[in-house]
Amino acid sequence: MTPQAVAAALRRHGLQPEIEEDLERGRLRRDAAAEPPPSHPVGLRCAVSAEQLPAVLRTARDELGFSLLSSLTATDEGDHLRLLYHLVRPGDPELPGFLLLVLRAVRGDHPDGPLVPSAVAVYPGSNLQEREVFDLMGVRFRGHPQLTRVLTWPGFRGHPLRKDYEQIDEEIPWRLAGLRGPDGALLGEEEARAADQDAAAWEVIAGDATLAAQPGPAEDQP
Amino acid sequence: MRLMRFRGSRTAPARAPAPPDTDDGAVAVAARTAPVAAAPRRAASERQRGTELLKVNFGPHHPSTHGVLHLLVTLDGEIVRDVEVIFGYLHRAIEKLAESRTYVGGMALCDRLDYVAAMTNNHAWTLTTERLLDIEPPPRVQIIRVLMDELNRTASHWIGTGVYGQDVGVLVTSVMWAFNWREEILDVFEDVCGQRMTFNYYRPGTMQKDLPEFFETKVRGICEQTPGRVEQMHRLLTRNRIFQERAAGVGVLPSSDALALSTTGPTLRGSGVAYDVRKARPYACYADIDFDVVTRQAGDCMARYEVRLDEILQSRRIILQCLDLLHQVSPDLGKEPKSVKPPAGREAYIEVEGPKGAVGCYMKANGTTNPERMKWRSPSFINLGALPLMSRGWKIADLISIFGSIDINMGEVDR
Repeated sequence: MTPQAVAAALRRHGLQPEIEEDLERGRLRRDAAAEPPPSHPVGLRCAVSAEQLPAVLRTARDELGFSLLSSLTATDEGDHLRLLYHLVRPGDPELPGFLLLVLRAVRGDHPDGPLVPSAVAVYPGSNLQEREVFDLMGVRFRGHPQLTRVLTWPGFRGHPLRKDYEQIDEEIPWRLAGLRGPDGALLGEEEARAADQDAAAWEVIAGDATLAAQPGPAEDQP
Repeated sequence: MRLMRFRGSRTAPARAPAPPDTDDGAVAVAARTAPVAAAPRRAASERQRGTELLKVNFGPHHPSTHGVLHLLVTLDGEIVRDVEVIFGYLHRAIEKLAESRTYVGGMALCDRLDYVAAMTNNHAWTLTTERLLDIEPPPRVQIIRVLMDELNRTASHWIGTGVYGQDVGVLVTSVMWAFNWREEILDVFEDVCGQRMTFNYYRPGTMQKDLPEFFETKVRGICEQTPGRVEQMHRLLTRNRIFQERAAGVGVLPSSDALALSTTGPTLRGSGVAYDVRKARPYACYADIDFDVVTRQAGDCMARYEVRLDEILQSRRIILQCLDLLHQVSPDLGKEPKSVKPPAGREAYIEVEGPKGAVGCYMKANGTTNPERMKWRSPSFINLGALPLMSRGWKIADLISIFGSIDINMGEVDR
């Protein structure tokens, strides 16, 4: 399928794809003085909105044959975040490049970032990549089966790849991160700190006195 | 030391569990469209009567988790019902660190990602930098890069296959052989750039230095030995009864699921999809070189392992062609640009074929000497996402075999 055919199909969905051109790569140019090879269409780039995304992903996979979601990432542009989806049609020499979907998400007030639809229903392989974007860049994916931190730990504060992230050494200490209350629910930061101060909430399971009272190793005995 | 156990805070208010996110029913859709393995499975498919499901923490310090991977396995007797993959213990914030390094200086960071195959990491980083600068290196540099990539692929695949032999409990011999053979390749790398694992050898538009004396003799010597060594590995592992019992037919990943789960590299090609970045989007001089994409149709652990051994032979083909090509091009090694400052707003995403799959590097320039954003597509990270599907229904011992056959590197998973 040529990039032009994909572009025509996407236009039917009300999108404005741009065809990306590139030189022919991968061949040795032994004569440096010769003209560089001409550019030709290799891939596409297309801006989508959050509402369009699920339908566009479904079209790309089912109708256009982009069966591989190669990469999903995000960049911080100040007032908005940009999500980039690189889709591939494996084994198609006419379309060697990517179909790049660019989603602009206004940052909003929520500390965990804007809400965009998840791609997991269409591309299950985006599960870990969306968790990574949530963890490091702060984008909430609606419909993700398990949107939790993946590279940092539970209780980590902030989203480190954002430009306004300040490095602070005030995260919840390791032993408090992931602490659960009596009802089984994960404790928030305030509650975990309060629990740390509350001596009655902890029980000693092996005190020093108990250990000291036990007899030493066998070889110490005469 | 006082050991304390959290009994439950009195200050914590009792909370009702959060209602499920039923905004647009996407969760339900995800459950319905989740890939279901079509291949017949040997393991029991229904729960044994009266047994209790047991959750076992596997790792992060278990010797067969290849580093610091943590698997939370739900067991029904011996049968794996579910696996939750937990990682991040080796997270070094390399994507964040890259924002405060220059394009040339930051390349040392990417060596630390997949430290078994740092040359292909260097290649992804350098190609992306070159695309941002819109420059192309001279032919000799491109040939040297392909040579280094393929030598490193051979080294990584020796580790992948040799250690897999130990994972499934055949013999330690395979590990000893593999490390010995890799050692010879590392000796060549040491001659070339002074390093054995973290090379930092590539530069935008050129290389750190030219190839050393006797390079060709040494590499031809390795190539001469390679087919015999692959055959030796086949004799030790592939035709071993224990190995076959542990690998053949185990952990089948159908091709549709492999694609849906975004796997690449031997994991995808072992499931019968002939997708190789070197053929799909040729870079350096791969379009001028004659080689085959190795695939297997079975999709089991044996298939992934065999793809690796066959790729070693393909790498040898590429290396021999590159050695001949080196004599046919000018000895010009190009020049590094005086300042590496791509124009603001330009962005590039380049993938190269690493030993574990497609290694991708995304960079966005802001007009300074540092990238504004660097993102690494780690094949190990994404291939791990296929582990729960592959291991459901198999026994706990098969989990080790399935996990070993993906050949992950934790440095790359955690970044």
